[in-house]
Parts: sequence; C-alpha cells; structure tokens
Amino acid sequence: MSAFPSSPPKTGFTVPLTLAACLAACLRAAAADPVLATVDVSKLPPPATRPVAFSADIQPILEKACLRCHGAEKPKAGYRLDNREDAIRGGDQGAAIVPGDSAKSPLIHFVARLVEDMEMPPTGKGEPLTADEIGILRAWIDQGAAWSEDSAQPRLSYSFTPAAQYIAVDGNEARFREHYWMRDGWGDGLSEFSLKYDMDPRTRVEIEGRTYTGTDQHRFNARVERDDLGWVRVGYQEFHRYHDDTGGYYKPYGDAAPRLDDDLVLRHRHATIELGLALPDLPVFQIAYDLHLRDGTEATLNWGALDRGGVRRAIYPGRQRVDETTHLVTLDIRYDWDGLLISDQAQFEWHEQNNLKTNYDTQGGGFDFANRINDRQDYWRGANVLRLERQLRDWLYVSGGYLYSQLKDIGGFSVESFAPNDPTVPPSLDLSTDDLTLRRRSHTANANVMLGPWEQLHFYAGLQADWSRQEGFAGGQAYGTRTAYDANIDRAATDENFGLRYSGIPYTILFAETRFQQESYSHFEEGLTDTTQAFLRDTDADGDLQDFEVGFTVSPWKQASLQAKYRRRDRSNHYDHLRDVDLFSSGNGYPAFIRSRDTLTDEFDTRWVFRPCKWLKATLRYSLAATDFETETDSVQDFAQVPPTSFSGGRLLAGQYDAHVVGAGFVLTPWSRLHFSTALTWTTSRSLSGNNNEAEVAPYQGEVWNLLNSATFVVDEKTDFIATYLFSDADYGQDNAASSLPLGIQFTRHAATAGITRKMKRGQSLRVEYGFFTYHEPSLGGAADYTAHGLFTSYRIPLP
Amino acid sequence: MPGSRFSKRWFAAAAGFLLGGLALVISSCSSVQRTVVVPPHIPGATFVGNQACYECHTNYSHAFQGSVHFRVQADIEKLPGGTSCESCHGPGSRHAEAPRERAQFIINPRKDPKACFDCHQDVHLQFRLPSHHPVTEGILNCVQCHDPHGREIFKPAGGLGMARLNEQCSSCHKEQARTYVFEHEAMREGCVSCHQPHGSINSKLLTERDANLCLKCHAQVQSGAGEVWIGKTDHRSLLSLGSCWSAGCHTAVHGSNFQPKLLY
Repeated sequence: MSAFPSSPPKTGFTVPLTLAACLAACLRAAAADPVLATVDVSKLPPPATRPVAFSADIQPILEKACLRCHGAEKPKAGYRLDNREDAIRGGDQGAAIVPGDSAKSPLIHFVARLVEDMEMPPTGKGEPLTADEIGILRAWIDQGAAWSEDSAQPRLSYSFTPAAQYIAVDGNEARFREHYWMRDGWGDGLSEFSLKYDMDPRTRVEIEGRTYTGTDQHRFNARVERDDLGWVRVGYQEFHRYHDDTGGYYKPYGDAAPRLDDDLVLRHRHATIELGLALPDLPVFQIAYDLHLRDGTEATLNWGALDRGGVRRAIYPGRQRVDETTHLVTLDIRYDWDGLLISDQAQFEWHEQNNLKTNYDTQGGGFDFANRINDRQDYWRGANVLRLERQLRDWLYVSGGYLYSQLKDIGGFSVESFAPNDPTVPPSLDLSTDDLTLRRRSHTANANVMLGPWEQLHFYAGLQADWSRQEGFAGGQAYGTRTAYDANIDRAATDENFGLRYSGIPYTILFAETRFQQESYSHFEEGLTDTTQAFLRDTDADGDLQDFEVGFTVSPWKQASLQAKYRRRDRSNHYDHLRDVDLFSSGNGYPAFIRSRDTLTDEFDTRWVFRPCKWLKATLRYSLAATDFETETDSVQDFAQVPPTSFSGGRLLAGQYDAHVVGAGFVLTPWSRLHFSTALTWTTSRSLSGNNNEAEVAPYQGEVWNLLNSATFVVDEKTDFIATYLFSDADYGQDNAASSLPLGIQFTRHAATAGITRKMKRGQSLRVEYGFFTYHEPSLGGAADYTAHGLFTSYRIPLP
Repeated sequence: MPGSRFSKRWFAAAAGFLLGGLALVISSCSSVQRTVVVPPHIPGATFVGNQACYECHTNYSHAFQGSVHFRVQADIEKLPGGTSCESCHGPGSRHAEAPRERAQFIINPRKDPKACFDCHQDVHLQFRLPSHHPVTEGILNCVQCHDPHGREIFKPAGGLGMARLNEQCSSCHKEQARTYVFEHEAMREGCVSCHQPHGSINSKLLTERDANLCLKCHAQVQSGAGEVWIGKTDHRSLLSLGSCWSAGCHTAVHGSNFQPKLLY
C-alpha cells in the first residue's frame, strides 16, 4: 500500500521506459489517493510556532529515529533522509515531503502513526516521536524544509602523514630486515594518505594508501561509488619480503656460519581493478581483474654440505630466483530473489612460473658441484561456485552449494649440475623434461541446515561431498636415459558436520561439535625408464577422520568468566597396495610397504578472565596438546643391498608431540592517565620420533618465553608518552654435534620503543619514537646477531 | 621413545582449572548476567544489539549463529541476541545513525587486528616470533585467512573457499600448494601438519626444523641398533648431514614433477 502521491513522470527517450514510468505513476496514484484521503490530519500535533533550525532541531531527530534505516548506505525502501533532495523526493513509495505544507506530507503522517502498517519508526525499531518532535518537524516543513548548508554542499576531506625513519644496525642487517619486515638505513614517504570527496549526495570518492620506503610498502586504493548504480575500484599493493642469507652452523668446524653475501629480497606486487553494478531490484554484478607478481630471490632451506677433515655437514645456504605472474578474472553475481539468496562466482586464472633454485654441494674442500633446478609452470584454472541460502521458517535455515574446478598445467623441469669453482667444466644436464602435463578436475557439493533456537538450543548440520581426479605425466631424460612418469589420483570424500549450542543454563553457554570424514583414494604411479629404475604402484587407500569438541563458557559474576574446551581428533589411513613392482630392488618398496597410519590428537584449552575492577583485567590461559603418530609397515626384503637386508615390519609409535602453553595477560589503568598492558606466554613442547634412540636424531624439545608490554601515559591534554617492550627467548638446543648437525634453535630477542605523540593545531599530530632492537642466537654461533637503533617520526595533517 | 609428558601433574593442573570453573557455574544462579569480555570502545557510541546490525548486514544474520564466535559473551547490558556483533566491532549506535561514512564509527578487524588480539592474546604473541606472517606490520589481516562470522559451516563460504584443504594458503603460496606429478602425501593432511601459520621460532614457519618433523610419520621398525632405515635405505649417515630437506636430499618437500622420491 502507498500513501504517497505519485511523482511527476520523467520524460525519456525510450518508449518502454516512458511507458513503464507512466504505468507506475498511474498505479501509485490510483493506490495513493484513497489512502491519502483517509488520513485524518486533524489528529496531527500542531506545528511548533517558533523558527526551526535544521542543525539544532531537525538533525538530532533524524539521527535518533530515522537515519538508522534511511541513511546514505542501504536505505530502506530506497528512501534517504541525509539530504534535502532525496528527503523530498521520497523512495519507492513516492514523494515524502511537500515543502510548505506539512499536513500533506506523508512523512508527517507516518511519524504521527496515522497510516496503518506505515508507522515510523516501526514498532520495535525505535521509540515513537513525541508530539513536540512531530510539531518541530511540521514547523520545519512549513517553513520550507531548509537543509543545513554544510550537509548540502559537496564535502572534501583528506589527510596525509609524512614520515621518516633512520635505523642503524650493527651485526646481521639481513636478519634484522627479515624479523621486522623493514630495512635499515634511511626511509621516508607517506605512512598514510586518504581523501574523501562527496561529489553529490549519491556519489562518493575515496582514496587511501601509503608509500613508504622504510618498509618498502606501497599501497593505493581508489573507489568511486554511486548509489543505485555501482562502483569502480582500482588498487595497487607492493611489499617486500627480506630473507637472511645465512646458512647453518656447525661449531666443531670453528668457522662462522656461511653466508651468500647476497641481498635476498622477494618483491610482491598486486594490482586490481573492479567494476560493480548495483541497480535497484536487480542482481548485484561484479567483475574484477587481479594481477599478482612475485619476483626476486629468496632463501631456501636446501643447504649444501661442507667438508672439514672428512666430516660433512650441510650448512651452506641455498637460494631461489622467483619469477611468478598470475592473472585472475573474477565474475560475481548476487541476488535476493524473494528471500532466496543466490550467489555465483566464476574464476579464470592464468599462472606463469619460472623459478631457478641453486643448491650447493661438495665432495672435498671446495664446491665441486652445485645444482641448478629450473621449474617452469604455466597453468590455467577455471572454477565456478554456486551458493543458495534461505530462511524457510523462523527456526529453519538451509543453504547449499556446488563447486566445479578444472586445471590444466603444462611446464618443464630440469636439474643441471655445474662446477662453481671451475668454469672450464661443462655443466651436466641430469634431469630434463619439456613434456610435463597435469590435469585436475574436482566437484564439491554440500547442503547445510540450521535449526532453532528452541529453548535456547541451536543445532546445525552439514554434509559435503568431494570428488576429484588428477592426472600427471612427465617425459624426458634422467641421467642420459629416456624416462617417463605417469601418476593419477582419484579421490572421493564425504564430510559430515554437526554442532549444537545451548544457553539455557543461566550465564552459561555449552557447545559441542563433531566432524566426520571418509576418504578414498585410488593412486596409480608408473615410472618408465631403464630396467633398474622402473616401477609401478597401484594403491587403494581409505581414510577416516573423527573430530569431537565439547566445551563451555560461563560467566557467573560480573568480574569473572571461564572458558574451557576439549577436542579429540582421530585420523586413520589404510593402504591396500594392489600392485607394487620396483625393478630397482625386489618390489615392495617405499612408500608402498606402509600399510596404515594413525594420528590421535587430544587438546584441552581453558581460559580464565578476571575483571575485579574497572582498572584491571587479567587473563590466565592454559592449553595442552598431545599427538601420537603410529605407523604400520609390511615386512620387506631388499636383495639389492649387500648383504641383503630384511625387516620384519609391524606397527610402531613413529612420533609423539606434546605441548603445554601457559599464558597470562593484564590490562591495568591504575589511574586515568596511565594505561598498561602485558601479555606473557610460556610454551614447552617436545617432538619425538621412533628413532630418537640414535644420536643422529635428537628429540626436538625446549621452551619459549614470549612477553609483550605496552604502556601509555597521558602527560597532558596534548601529549602522550608511549612505550613498548617485546621479549622472546627460545631454548631448543641440541647436544649431538659429535655425530650429527645440531639444528635446535636458541635465541634471545629484545625490542623496546619509546616515544611521544603530541597534538598540534588544527587536528595535526606529531609522533617521535626511538627503538632499540637486539637479537642473539647462540645456535648460529652469533652469525645472526644484531643490535639496532632506530628513530621514527611522523606528522599527521588532516584537512580541512 | 621416552614417555609422554601428558602426565598426571598436567592433568591435575587442568582439572584444577576446570573445577574452579565448575565452582563458578554452581554459584552462578545468584549472579549478574554480565561478563568480562570487554568489547572495544568507540567514543560516544552505545550498544544497539544484534537485530539492529542484521537490518543491513542480512548476510550474517543467520549463519553467525553457527560460528564459534557466537559462543562469546560480552560485557554488554543490551544483549538482544545473546551474543553481540558488538563484542568485536564495538558499540554500533553512531555507525547506525550516521547519515554517511558509517565505516568510521565501527571497528573493522580487516583493517586493524586489535579487535582479534584483545581475546586471542596468544596468537598476537605468535605474530611477534621471528618467523611470522606480516599481520602486525599491516600487510596481511586476520580476515584474509579466517572467516570470523562462521559462514564456513555453510560451505561454500563465498569465493572458491569451499572449506577445502589448504585453500587459504594456496591463494598466496601457489608454488607450494599446486598440483604435482608426485605429491607429498602430507599435503593431504594440510599445510599445518608441518607449519605454524601465525608464527614460529623456526624459519619458514616450521613446527620443527630437524628430522623429527619427518620421522613422526616416516619412522619404521628397525632391524637393529645403530640404524635408521627409512624404506630400504639406511639414512643414519645421511641424517648426520642435517635434516631430510636441508641436507640437500629431499629438497622438493611439497612435491616433485620428475623425481618420485622428492629429491628435486
């Protein structure tokens, strides 16, 4: 129903639009007049007799009662009350205000609650206006419905923050850069800039970003948005990932940990452009193009062996040159069709990769050879996902979706060995393939339901089915022999999720969730090469996952709450090797002699929160996690060994992991000028394997302390003093240098900053900060150690 | 292998924590229904309740009730929905009533992870470890990997992230999570089998940086002392060089296209 008189039909050039407008106007007029005629304007409160000012009298009423639903963003019924033009014109129901005549203004009829089903604010969404407030609104309309000039004019605001820093590092500069994602030396730029411009009440422009050489972060985002039409967004982001070029450390060598003497930096860049169309009553449509670039050089953990007196330890660092480009086109469409939410997204992705990894190795005192591993990939991927959801009843919500994805990958691969110290030795192409093809197709479908609440009980369940097929082929040369590999994987899986939440017990929430998964794999692998390396494996595998979680949150007092939960996760996999032919030895080889694998994890987590008074909040946390890994293998015989070897196989506890985390956090405001917070965790963990009885494999165990403090002291109305302190300490040292390479890490790290912020005139503010950073890693013989001092300053200027 | 430290005294500590909580439950019937999860503060704003949020943010109105965050209670007197959006986003009155530019009056964890860190303090500290994803540096944000509103229980959760394994990681780490002719089966268990995604004391976010990382799955019954057979090869001398991947052997830890033993 409508009480609005119809808007004058707009002229247009197209007959259909004109006809539609006339028809709509006629329909509105036909429906409106009788209703308008039924409004008894004698029941309206009288208009106020004094002059009314928009900012002082009207704006507060609109903010209290109207703008929550009728603001600029997502206005209900298309009606906006944030500017005069739209306020008068009205929304879907037609004109709302007749300037100079409040008695004929439907807006007044609605707020006076004289029209059934059109009472504003609606019941439950705000208090009805008082007679005085309606009188003020009437007077404002009768006096011409003047709008605040400030609100009516296009508005421009912007801010920018020039910033600079200088950091001096004594020690390993690369490690400092890796830890803090910023470089040493001088850096400057704009740490922030933004611009907002309201071109008109319906059109907005927003720009924000930063360009700062201190962290090599550059970001730019611009968005133009027009109500009832759509938006355009363009963006660019760049950041750098620094890598330390230090390798490992073997103390008995007596040398420092080797370095590459190379600045390792990986540059990430991302550009995007997005167009959106959001016309009233039509689906929202969006198309976007994204370009991702990664290039540079990164450190790898593939280290080369050094040799000192016949003792070989792999500690020489490796690196990889990265060159990756990804193009991504995304199409989105969303539509609310009478309560049924429909969304569909299609993606088309092209990815090009040409990476070159260099691994060093040695057979004597120097580098006798190294490997260059070139990995080239070009893939195309297309995917589409459809999602539907609907609230069928107050207590019943359903959703479902379907995903289809397809990938085709072609590429090449080569491993070339060369002699870094002797350029006269020609490189040798050990492995090479230019005939590499990968294909994958996958389907995923799911359905979900949520029930309730009934008596404070929510229940939900979901079912998902996955199916995928992957085919891979690579043909080329391996050490001079024609070689081809073929590998296919078929996977089918179903997931079932169930959960409930109950809040019927006073001040308590109970929850429980379970997840089950059943997987089956059919895995075929074939190697076609010379008679000593050929193999064929055909394996059927199944997996079973059971995941349970229960817990509660209780808050009986204003001052305290407790959360606790327990989770058990049990995954088991079984392998049935239908065929296993390995010409290298006797078949029955790795990995085809693994029969089953079981992983059982128990987790317990609890958290106390105390807030005995407003100036103190304390959090205590304890969590425990324990995982057992069990493996079962077949018996195996290997006649290729001299003498032939034989293993009985069987089940063993292959590994154990357990960790305890104790945490505490405090937020104190002992008096209004001081805010202090601290967070501390102590973690002790242990990772064991079934081979820890051998000295080459020491347990990986130790503890980590982590502390973060921050304090703010308000010196006066304009000046704040801010300080932070970070402390980390890890002790996972291993004492097995006599027989192996100790890899457990030990370090101590401190970072402290102190500075002031001072408010200046016109909203400007100055920040000056000093930072001290130190890092000590005994497990690397000091090669990663550094001490750094930094000075950071910025000055924020908002305008107007 | 030494015995597990999943021992009695730890169970006792856990039980003590739990019993303390149960004591609170028992005493709760005469208490005040307000809690100590302190929501963020927005100057001049008051709490409006979930229903007001759902008026515009309809896409969250139903699915959020299945979220883990729906378990959270906050120190908000007005709790029409039991659990409030404003627990994380701050009081919403100014956001709801502003005629335009409403985003400035609400907390958006996509732009500032502080709202997440207020509760997830342990995660905040993990981001301060030497190897970490750059969230505190402002390059990434929590929402890029996590869906705080719980729509993941109603998969697909928009986009292509149909709660498939490693999906969040593969959007950036394409080289590692891509398809291989010979895949490392550990990838089926998820990237978190070997990596701590928030932060780690070890390079590359690894959970361990020695052979224990691999052997907890690949250990097998040995034929005698002084041997570390893995498959048909005694790896003992190889393990003296370093870890399985850093010693220059199984360098293709995520998968290989031309080497079935993942050497390259």
